[in-house]
Amino acid sequence: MQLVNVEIKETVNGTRRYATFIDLKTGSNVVMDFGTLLLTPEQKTRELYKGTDLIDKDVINIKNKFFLIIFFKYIPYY
Amino acid sequence: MRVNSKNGKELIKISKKHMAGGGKVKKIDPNLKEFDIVWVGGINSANMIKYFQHKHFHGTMAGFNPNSKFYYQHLYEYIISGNMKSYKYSAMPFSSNYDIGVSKSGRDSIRKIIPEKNQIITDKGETYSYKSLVLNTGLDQKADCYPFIKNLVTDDFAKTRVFIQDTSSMPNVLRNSRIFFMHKDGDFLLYLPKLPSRREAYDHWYLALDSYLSRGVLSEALNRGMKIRVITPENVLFKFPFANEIINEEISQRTMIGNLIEIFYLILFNFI
Repeated sequence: MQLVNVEIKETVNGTRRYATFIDLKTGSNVVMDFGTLLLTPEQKTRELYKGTDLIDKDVINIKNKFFLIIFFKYIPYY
Repeated sequence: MRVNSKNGKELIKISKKHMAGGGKVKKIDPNLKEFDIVWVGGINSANMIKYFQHKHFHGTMAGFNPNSKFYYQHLYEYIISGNMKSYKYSAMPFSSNYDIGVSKSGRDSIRKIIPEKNQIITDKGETYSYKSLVLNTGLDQKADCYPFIKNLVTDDFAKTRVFIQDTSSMPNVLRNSRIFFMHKDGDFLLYLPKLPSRREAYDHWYLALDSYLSRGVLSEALNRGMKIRVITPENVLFKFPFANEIINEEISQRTMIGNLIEIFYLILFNFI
């Protein structure tokens, strides 16, 4: 499910908090009430890597194997 | 080390610092621009530099990070209560994790990497060269992707009880730590975004929420029917199958334990 909206309502019984999610398969909305909501923002590639071939699109694997090669070859342990 | 008087008489004799650790410490030239290893990134880079220093690495090293101190969301409450001491170094200044007299500590942000020339360029325009470059930057994490909560995460007193895991701003960090103490009713919702994510490394922290919240349940400060709901648009929690298997097994065990204190983890994937 994907978060699409968060709503805070003040009522006579106190504050009510609702998060709305959309089911990506059926397209239906699911509303959940919550006490606390913690969101982790979606994460993007840093500017430093944009336009380079250093990493893959998932930013998990280093695409440019040259980095790994120099790492292992040139560490000067004496 | 000996201290002598003017007429050559030996006054005191003390052991030389670091003598037992492998000889004289070689101080780094602060104006040095060429290094054997350059580390770009966060606290793990600092710890690796410390490890290399500990292993008597004789090459030159530099660590670059623009942040003076790091805060991780999952450490707020636990550091305060002092029961996660193994993570204490994660919340320390970058430069205090290693000897900056031996390796350079740069407060600059790296703007460009030129692998063909083995060079990096900082935001101040300075160029440093390396033999090995270690990238430890992580991903860019900002709240811009949720425009509908813009007004909900800016109140200082955090009455909305909506918070963002964004550790790049200090006011946000303080607000978030306050919210942990303000949770008193309803379910604790945790929304994890689409992959890619840094959560392979750090987002297992929510597994500690039940132990934190169970104190409130046992003291009757929190509702006994409260649940921790983890929601994600992905079909898996982790991109790596093995990690996904481990975390789901852990959660299923937590749920069994949770029956005793009536705190449940509900993992709501997209297909549920």
